[in-house]
Amino acid sequence: MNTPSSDRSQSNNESRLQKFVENAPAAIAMLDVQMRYLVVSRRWLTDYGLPETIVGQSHYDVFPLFQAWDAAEFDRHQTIYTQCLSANRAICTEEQWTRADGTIDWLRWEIQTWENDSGGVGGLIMFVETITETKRAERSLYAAKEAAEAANRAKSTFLANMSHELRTPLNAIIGYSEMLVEEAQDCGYTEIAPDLEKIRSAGKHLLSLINDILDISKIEAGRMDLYVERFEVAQLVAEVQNTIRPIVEKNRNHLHVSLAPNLGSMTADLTKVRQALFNLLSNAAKFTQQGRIEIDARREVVIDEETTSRRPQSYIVFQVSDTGIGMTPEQMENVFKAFDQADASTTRQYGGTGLGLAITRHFCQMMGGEIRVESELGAGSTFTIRLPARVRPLGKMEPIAPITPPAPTTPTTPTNTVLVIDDDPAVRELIVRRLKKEGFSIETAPTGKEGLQRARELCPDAIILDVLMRDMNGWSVLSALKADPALAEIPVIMSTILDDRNLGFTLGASDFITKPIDNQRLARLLSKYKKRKTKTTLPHQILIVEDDALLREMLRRMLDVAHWGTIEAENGREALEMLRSQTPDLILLDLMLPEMDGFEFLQQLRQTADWRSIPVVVVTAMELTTADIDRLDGCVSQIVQKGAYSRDELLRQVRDLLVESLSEDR
Amino acid sequence: MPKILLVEDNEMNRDMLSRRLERKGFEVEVAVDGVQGVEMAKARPDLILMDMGLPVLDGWQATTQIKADPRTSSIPIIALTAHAIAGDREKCLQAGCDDYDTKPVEFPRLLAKIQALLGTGG
Repeated sequence: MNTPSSDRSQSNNESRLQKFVENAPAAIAMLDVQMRYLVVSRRWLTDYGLPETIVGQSHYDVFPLFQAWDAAEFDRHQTIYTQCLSANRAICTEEQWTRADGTIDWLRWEIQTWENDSGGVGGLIMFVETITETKRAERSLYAAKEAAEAANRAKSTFLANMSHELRTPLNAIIGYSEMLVEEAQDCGYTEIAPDLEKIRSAGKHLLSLINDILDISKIEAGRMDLYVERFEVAQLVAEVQNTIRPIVEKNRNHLHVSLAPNLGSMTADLTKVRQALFNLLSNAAKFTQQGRIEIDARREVVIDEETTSRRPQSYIVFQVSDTGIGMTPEQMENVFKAFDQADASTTRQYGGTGLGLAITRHFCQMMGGEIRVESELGAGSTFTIRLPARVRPLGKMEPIAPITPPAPTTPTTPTNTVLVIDDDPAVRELIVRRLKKEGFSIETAPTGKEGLQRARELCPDAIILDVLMRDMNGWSVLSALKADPALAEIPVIMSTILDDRNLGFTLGASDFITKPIDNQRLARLLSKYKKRKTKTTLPHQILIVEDDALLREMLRRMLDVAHWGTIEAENGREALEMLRSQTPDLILLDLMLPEMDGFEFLQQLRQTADWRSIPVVVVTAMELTTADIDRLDGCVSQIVQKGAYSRDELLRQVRDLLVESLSEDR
Repeated sequence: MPKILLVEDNEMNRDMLSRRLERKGFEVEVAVDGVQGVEMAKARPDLILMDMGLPVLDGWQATTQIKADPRTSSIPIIALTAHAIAGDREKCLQAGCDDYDTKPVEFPRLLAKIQALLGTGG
């Protein structure tokens, strides 16, 4: 029933379709199931320099490279086409392709099946795009980014090293000028003392600037660590207040301190909180004349909606406000950015690096807190720091994998028992309450006589002994304890209000603590004995795999001092051989080793079931790439960067890691 | 006259500190590394000022050795560390140091600590 008009429209359609295919600005080809060309766009011919006569020819004949050049390539492509014929579709986002003239191009292609009239697969339609230029741009961008990052790292490292170098001569300038001030005063040269004092104070100022630069470069290089400890907030504020007083008084300002009664203690990085407060207060003092500076600290308890537990969270809030020059909204926006003071003239007028607030904000963020500012030009500024009362340590030295504790060879030791001998019930109660929290089991005795009796019954792990007791003086109790062979080995901590340590030590007390008792110090003393005890029942052996003989020797001596046994190997192969005869509790591993490097060693180590649970601490001078870290992931407990630290620091850190790893055997 | 052993590897710091201490009436002996420090501690000074970043044997190890030896264990030790890093204090006390101060030394503060440990003046 073909009418002339429908005929015309059909031929119109065909011609349009023909033009559409021919002129499509893309390389497209339609092939049958035998991979013979049916239709191609002009771009297909021009892109690959092919004649129009290819229609009807096989794809493999048109691109003879498949057969003549590379049989493997031929196989690979044939597989792709065959698979695509049954799976409908194949896409490759980038592929290298060598042209007949030898030039290399990058291609992106898509292949799709087409359906014939009877509903079967008629063949393939291919689309290929040359992405060589995009690829080239991508590569150069990546290279530029890598170079920029490397340069930035190098800059931060340089700054960190340089600041350290700058401090050494500066310490001499400060120290000697300080000495000269004293000498001038002692010898009556009072007229030169003020000049010397100026040298000293300029030196101090320069030192604080250098310290700022050191901090910011450490932050940028990702080397700033967090040391979390518990401290009294009121005590910290009092300490900062003392340090800041001369600076506040310089511009005839008044400092007001208000502390909420429920402040209590917080667990955070003491040095960083102190520095943050000091920065805020010294800024306030710098930008305020004959005004009022206020520091206000309080505790806030809120139900945190974001956490699923909905447990109340405690925050410590510090607020520092002044009646100084204030800031414009534009200045407020930039105030926390590094290298960006309110404006350049500020530096000239008020001095400073302008890094203080950037550092302060970094510190707050590291501790999971925040800092905010409110200000009005000419009226003053208020800075508010809000920190979690219990900061979680999340320093950069976090283990990549959970620490595998050394396999316990003996059942874990029962709770440590401590005997407290003190005639003051309040002291007894205080110690009991405090130490129970630390996981000790506590027994008490109100007199020296009873104390001795309980000591014989209990054979405690440690004894805390009061020096001044009514019935029998503590020293006599101590002598009696040390005279009894069954009790002589028990460490005794003397608690006293008298500073009589020499007597205590000659009598055989292992430690000494003064009243009022600092609970933290006491807990620390006891945990020392706790460790010592587990060590005697479970001698630790450490395998050192390190090619630097000096470093190896230093590690060994350090470990000897701490009563750890060591075995040594110069490279991975030697280490593996040693493992065959003995199994250490921990391995200290350098990565850059001759013969068999650290990576290979780890691989082999993890393949043997018996060795898999040995914790490995990697000590490396290499800058580890992400790929390296992936290779180490799950294999090692800790990574210590050698290059980033001096040898001393490295050793110190290794020791801490060891203590940490080894004391986790609970 | 109380005798102080100063263990410090930096010549300038050693010179400054020893001269200032001498002017305050102390007798000062100096050691330049940890090994020498441990050795000289056997002469039983009244107090030891120990730099922590020492060559050969560092201050932590030297302190541990001095405190482990019954002949020298009762000598009070004040640790001096170059960086005001928190955690260092903890580490010094763990090694057995009796007190701790940061470098650059603030002399009046250090003097107060020395006097407190010696039970004199201050």
